[in-house]
Amino acid sequence: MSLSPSTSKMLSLKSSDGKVLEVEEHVAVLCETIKSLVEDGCADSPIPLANVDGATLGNVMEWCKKHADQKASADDLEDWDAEFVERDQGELYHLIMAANYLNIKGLLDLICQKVADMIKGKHPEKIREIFNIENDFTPEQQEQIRKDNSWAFE
Amino acid sequence: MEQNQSKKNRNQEEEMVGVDRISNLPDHVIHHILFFLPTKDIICTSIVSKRWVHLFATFPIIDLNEEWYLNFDVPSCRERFLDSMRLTLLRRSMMHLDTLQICTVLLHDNLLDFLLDRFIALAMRGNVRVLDLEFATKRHTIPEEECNACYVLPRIIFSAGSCLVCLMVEGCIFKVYNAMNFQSLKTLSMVNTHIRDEMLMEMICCCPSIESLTLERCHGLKTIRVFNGKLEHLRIRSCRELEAFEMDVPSLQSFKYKASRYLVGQIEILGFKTTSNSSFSSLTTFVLTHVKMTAEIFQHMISSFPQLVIITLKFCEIVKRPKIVFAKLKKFMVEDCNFRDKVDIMAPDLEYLTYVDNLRGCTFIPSNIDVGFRALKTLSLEGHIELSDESLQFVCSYCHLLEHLSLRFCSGLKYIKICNYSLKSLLLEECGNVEDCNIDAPILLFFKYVGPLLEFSYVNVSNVLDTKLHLRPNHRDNYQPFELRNLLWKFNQARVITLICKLVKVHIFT
Repeated sequence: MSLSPSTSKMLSLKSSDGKVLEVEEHVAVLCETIKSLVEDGCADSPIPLANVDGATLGNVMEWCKKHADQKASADDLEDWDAEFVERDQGELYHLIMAANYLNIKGLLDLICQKVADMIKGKHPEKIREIFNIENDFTPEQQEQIRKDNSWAFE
Repeated sequence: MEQNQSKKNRNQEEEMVGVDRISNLPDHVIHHILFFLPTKDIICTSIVSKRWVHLFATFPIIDLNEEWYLNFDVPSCRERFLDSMRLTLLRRSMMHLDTLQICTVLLHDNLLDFLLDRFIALAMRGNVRVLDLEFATKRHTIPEEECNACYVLPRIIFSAGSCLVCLMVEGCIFKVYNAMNFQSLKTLSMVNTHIRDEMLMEMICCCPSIESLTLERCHGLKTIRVFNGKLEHLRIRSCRELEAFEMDVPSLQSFKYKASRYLVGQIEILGFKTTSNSSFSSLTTFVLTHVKMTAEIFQHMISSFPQLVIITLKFCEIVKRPKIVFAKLKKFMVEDCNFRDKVDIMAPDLEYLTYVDNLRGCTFIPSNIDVGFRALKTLSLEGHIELSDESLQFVCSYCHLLEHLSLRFCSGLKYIKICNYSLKSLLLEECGNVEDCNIDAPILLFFKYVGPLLEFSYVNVSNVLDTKLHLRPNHRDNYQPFELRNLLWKFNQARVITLICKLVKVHIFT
């Protein structure tokens, strides 16, 4: 598998729903949040991650493992990432929250880019439809905002 | 977010149809998504719901561009742009602004100036980090007599600029004030701006952290004096009056100077002064375009750059025969330069050389490239270079590490003989007078030929060769099948042959 340093020890991570995941340290430290725990010497017992459920934690660690692999080329990673983000909105939401909580910039960028691509070039009505956003304006308010930014909607 | 979400909870949520998850993300995460979108798309998101109106109001980038309104006639273009500025002032928070970008196209007027002053003042008070101001960009340069008709940058930028990291200004007036403070500024770019020598010097003195400086179409500038220990990148373009440099920039890594394209050969560098031997001790990349200078100044310049790795000369004129010695140079690119005479280059570590000459400016003879080329891996020659058969043969046998050879429009060649055991790719294109080609390159992986059908008297290549033969019509305007058969026979070792040509008669042969 990866070129893990022979010294790499295992960390156990405990998800919000009580699942425990064993992960190599050099993979887990891609999460800045875990990295600072390790650096402070607070990573002995299972690390509780109150904001990440087991399924999402599994996905996040899958991503970290791929990105910790030094043999993977940039092209390879790009293709892999493109496949990784092919998920439904529910999963993307949990991943984005986990990436934010665990402070993994690469993963956060990847998923934000994916969500941005879903928004790009769409009219406001279409954006509401895609993300199930409720329109809570009165018709007058909406007309006013639309008029103010008319150039953007042509 | 939902804290301590249980699995049961999540499953229930998944079953619900039409959950608005995106709006539940924290503000800074949604802003992170918006960073990846152009302004137009960000505005589209701003009207989907009240939550998104708020998200737009606090988004840390304000981008206003008059070009968006250009499809209206001139008065309403300006009117709509001013409206958008007023609305932005009303609706957007400037408290935690990161970036303010304003671009105008039409000439300034009092109303615009008033709004600009307000924007800049609010942004500066909110500790904006990036300020990008472009005025009347459609106009090429502001004539000096019209300088009074330009927007004058407000004083607050200079007095309260300590949080600014990046300042980019175009088409406005720059005044230097007494108490300037740009202690965090890393990037400074001045385009189409009137600035005099001493103003530039004072400005740079007030930027102790500056790493990148760009001066483009600046007028009033005659001598660039930069004495700074942090500057890494210097880029100067089309500053018409510029004629001399006085610099001490030991951390500078790249130096790119392009003179005005419209005044080829007239811009001459007359002075180049350094204060010590280590003035350019970190410079690795040097690019000169449209510059004229004497060999003495050029040599003096080059000798001040002991760490130079990459040099590019484009459309330069160097009077008298330069003798160029580069101790560490790896990459040398010359395009359409007039050296008036032979060039003597000594570069023992050179790995990459491209020489393009469409002006008949230079003679390329290996004797004046001397010992240096032992490390050469890539050689690309194009144009009216007087490269003789013997010279080519000499280069090929002399450069033991050569991997890529490209010869385009080299009309001096008649009998090409290439004998090289390291060559991996070879390109021969439109070398019009060639009659015969002899290739002995046992590990050649890629070969491309463009030109009329040619006699290949000997071909020894690897058995995984990818060959592309693009045959232009000859004087008979076409080829006989047997001619092609003979040609292909020479390349029978190749794994792939792509042949593009016109035949008299289609004849399938195997």
